[in-house]
Amino acid sequence: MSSTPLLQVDAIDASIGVINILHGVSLSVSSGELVTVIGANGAGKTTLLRVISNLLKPSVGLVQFDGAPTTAVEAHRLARRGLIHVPQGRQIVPTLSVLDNLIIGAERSEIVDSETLVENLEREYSRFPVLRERKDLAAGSLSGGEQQMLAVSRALMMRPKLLMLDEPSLGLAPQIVKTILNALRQLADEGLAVLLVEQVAMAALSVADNAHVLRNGEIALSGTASELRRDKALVESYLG
Amino acid sequence: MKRYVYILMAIAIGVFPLVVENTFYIYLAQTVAFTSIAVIGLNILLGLSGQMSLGQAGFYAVGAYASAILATNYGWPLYAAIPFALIVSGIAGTLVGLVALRTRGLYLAMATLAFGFIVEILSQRWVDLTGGTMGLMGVPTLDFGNFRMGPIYFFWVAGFTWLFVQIGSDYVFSSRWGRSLLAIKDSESFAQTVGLNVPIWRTGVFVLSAVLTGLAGTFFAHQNGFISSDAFSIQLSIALLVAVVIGGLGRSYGPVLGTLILLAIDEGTASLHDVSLMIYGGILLFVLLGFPEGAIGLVRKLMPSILSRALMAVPSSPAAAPLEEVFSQNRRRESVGLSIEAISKSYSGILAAQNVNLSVAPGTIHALIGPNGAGKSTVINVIAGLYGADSGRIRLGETYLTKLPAHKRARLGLARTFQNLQLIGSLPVLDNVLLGMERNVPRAGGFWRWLVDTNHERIARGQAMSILQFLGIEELAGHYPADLSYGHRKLVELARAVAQQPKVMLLDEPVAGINTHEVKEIGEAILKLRELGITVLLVEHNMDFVMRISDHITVLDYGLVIADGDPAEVRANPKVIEAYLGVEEETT
Amino acid sequence: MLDTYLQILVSGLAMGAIYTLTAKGLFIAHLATHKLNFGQGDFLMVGAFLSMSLIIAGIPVLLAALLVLIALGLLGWGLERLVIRPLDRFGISGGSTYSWILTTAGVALILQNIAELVWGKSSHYSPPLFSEGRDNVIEIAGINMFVEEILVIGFAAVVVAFFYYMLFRTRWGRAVYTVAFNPEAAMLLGINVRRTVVLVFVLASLLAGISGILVGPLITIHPHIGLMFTIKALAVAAIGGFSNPLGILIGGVLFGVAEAFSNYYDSAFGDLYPLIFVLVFLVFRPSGLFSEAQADVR
Repeated sequence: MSSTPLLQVDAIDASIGVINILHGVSLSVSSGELVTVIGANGAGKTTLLRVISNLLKPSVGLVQFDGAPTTAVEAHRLARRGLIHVPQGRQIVPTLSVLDNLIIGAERSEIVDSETLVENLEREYSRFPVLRERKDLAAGSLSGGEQQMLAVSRALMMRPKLLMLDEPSLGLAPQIVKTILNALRQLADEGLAVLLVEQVAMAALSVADNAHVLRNGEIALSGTASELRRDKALVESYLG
Repeated sequence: MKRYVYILMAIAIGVFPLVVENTFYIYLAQTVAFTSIAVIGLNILLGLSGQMSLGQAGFYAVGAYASAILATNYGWPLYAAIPFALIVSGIAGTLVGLVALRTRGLYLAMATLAFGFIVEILSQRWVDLTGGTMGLMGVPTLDFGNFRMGPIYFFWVAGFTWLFVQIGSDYVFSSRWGRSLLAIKDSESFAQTVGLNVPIWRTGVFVLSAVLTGLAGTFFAHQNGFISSDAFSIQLSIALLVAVVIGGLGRSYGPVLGTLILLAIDEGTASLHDVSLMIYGGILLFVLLGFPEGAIGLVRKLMPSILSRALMAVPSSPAAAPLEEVFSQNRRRESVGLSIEAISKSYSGILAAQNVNLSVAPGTIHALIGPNGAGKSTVINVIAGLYGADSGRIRLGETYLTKLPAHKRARLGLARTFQNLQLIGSLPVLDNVLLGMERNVPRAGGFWRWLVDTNHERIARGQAMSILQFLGIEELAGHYPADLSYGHRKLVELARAVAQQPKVMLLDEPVAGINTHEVKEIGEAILKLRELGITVLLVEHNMDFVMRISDHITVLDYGLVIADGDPAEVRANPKVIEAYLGVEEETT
Repeated sequence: MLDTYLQILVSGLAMGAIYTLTAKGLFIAHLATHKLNFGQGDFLMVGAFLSMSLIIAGIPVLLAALLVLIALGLLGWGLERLVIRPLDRFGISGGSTYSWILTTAGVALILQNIAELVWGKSSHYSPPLFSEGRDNVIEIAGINMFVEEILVIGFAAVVVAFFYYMLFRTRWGRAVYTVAFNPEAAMLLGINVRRTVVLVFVLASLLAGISGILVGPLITIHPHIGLMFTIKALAVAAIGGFSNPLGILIGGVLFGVAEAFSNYYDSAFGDLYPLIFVLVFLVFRPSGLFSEAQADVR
């Protein structure tokens, strides 16, 4: 693990139009670490990820990825550098096949020769075997859980250094959520930096190393995941 | 004020041909007058209702041929032929309007383009009827039998007709008609929720524009005594669009200004006839890419502000009417409850709401909460009538709403606000509130009152002001939505919903994305609504807010009702905690 | 009698192939950007004239075609860059949402005028591409067929197949579908959205150019034939709901054949019937015959 974090977010403010969404949010993620940002709807979690991947410019503050500020780098170039953002709602391309969806990820990273491609595909098929069975089907015909697995696998085909996921549990049954979160834990153990944004706090905390609670655009609580799970303030921050 | 402007214009029209003796200028003025009528029709269609038409030449041709053929081949007098031609244009407008109803944007542009093309081909090839490219000869001219004075008479008729149409257009632009059309242009679902019957409005505006364009066509037919199919090509449709765009799309005086400019360019470049198409195309690109507001926009910018204020005087902050007057209806009525009985709704295989039962007691504030994707928005939209339910019933008081379209539900007293705000950006705050009142403003006498009174909507404006005051935002009346904070916009939307004098209000995330202070303001406003006897059903994520103001809370998860009770009960309910935070389980 | 029908069928197929190619250009642009070129037919006209002049000047057909395609590619690039993308800065509220319809139509007018100035307003006959004379006839199964028509059909089939290959089997095609689905999600996948969109308009123009080269020897060309092709290609694309490439293929072929037969039975107004039919059909199936269920709500 390197001494400087892979992702460093420093005191950012962000707004959409006239609406201020984030105030003074700071956090960092290092390689091999799984950090989760939890919070109720409308707390600003999605906006935070959008700022990090430079879909939205912060009004104040700095985001650094791999030692360089992100603000001057177009979103698609950040993705090619290994900052991978899996947006909310999975965003797999429904009209393309599962295999095509996986290939989209690969062909923008440096995976050029077909041998490496096959290798990477095999790795993802063994991670989520159901994808192998469905590889020729239109991605839109998959169930929600399978689509989420596809979204994670597609992201991994892009050779991420940092993987950010926006509410992967949305609309999924608890068992599937567990499968996906366990996969994320394993990835972090293998050395990937993971930033997981979740509404379902307990599940996220059960796999994370460190956690931040976002509330009305500000970080209300921070700590290790195990501390936060026992903190009574957590329930309050959700239900008022 | 505007009365005198119109009288001045009338005098100018009367005097012009007597002063200007050059018949060529009179001829040009005739053409400006009647072409402006067609452009006004297009301006209302495209600028106000947002419907693209690339086939206006079709209506122009229909009007011209109907009138010319009846007068020439069948000897009808012009006073009979012209009105009949307008009816024929109206029928053509209805047919195209029906296509327009079912299509939007690109499809509409394509359909109107094809319509214009078909009419052009028919006029070229149906030689027995139209004379084709050789044309119809000996079409009676509109000269009242006086050859020498004919052009002057023609100008007077065309000029005064234009003036009438212009006054009508001004009325549309500065009254509830224009507001309603803008609402439909911005968002049809929003227009429904303020009680507008969208299909009728959309078809109606097509018919109106067809009749106006047909009217211009009849003038054209009786101007020279000769028409041929060459006049009705796609170039004419484009020319009308060019005129409306240079003038200033969606401005009442854009058409006449645009027509003047276009004809001036045409005449000024008559020697450059070979490049006339290039000039048209160039103007389109130049204006749309450089000055999308058109000439009117430029004039506004250049005009000294005192003059513009005098000319475009809109009373922005009228005196507020007494609140009792505004809410007299509500006060007299008992509060009404809302019940949702076993509603289910699924889309593309996902059950968004399963057998949801919800009973909102009269005069209470009821919150519907749940994690992301729980189905709250679905329930709200099913109640408002934007989505149909797969099964189940909705009852407002004693009336079942299940089968009614959204605009009828709105008229029965169901108002709503939207999660993503639906305010009309081109209208000031007060006018946005007036949109909510459209159903309650008496229609009769609207036009005459408008003509003689600078403030023809005094009563309605007073009431709207009073609603703004009630919500504590009266100082915003004259501002445009874009200049307001998000919280203030939410309050304006609330004011618009209040203006509908609803029995039940549906609030979709009334405090999402606003600061703590504004949350408090909106909370107070909602409590005031309850005092007025309005029943409130709200969807919201801000729990502090929900717990503080609600009388009763229903919790949804995965489309199912998982809890129902007062705030304290719901907060303590383990199922609710689980739905929001997930199950506490040991890591493996 | 059967001979005549077969000949009409072949003519219809040839024109249908042209409509299909032109409509594919509209489809691809609309798929990726929800915008398209209302001067698509005028781009075709430019392609037809350019190829006519180059071939008459003695340049070999293949080289001429290449030059035409380079010119059309540049036109498509300029169109996107200069009159479509700049409109984005006004946002949705500024001007009209459909300003692109008028700006692309404006470009069409300018092209018509240039064509008038260069080639005059009268009709021209383009030399044949594949044979010595325009009326070159080949006997197939005892029936005389025009060589040009047969080869146009064959060539168009090759282009359509290539188009399908591009769309469904290449990195670029996948990018187009991803951008079509959600431009922002495409960015997050490392796709250069702006470049993809430019390429889409270039391809759309190339398809118009190919159509122009092919159609030249089949009809008489003049500076104002573009509008008719725009309208018919739009109608064909609408049959496929602007979203279904197969629907557009079937729609284009059916449209061409229907037109050929209705022209045979009513030489005065025959070409209008298929168009009117499509308009009426749109009232009942506004999202097209073969479109996917998802209707564009706006």
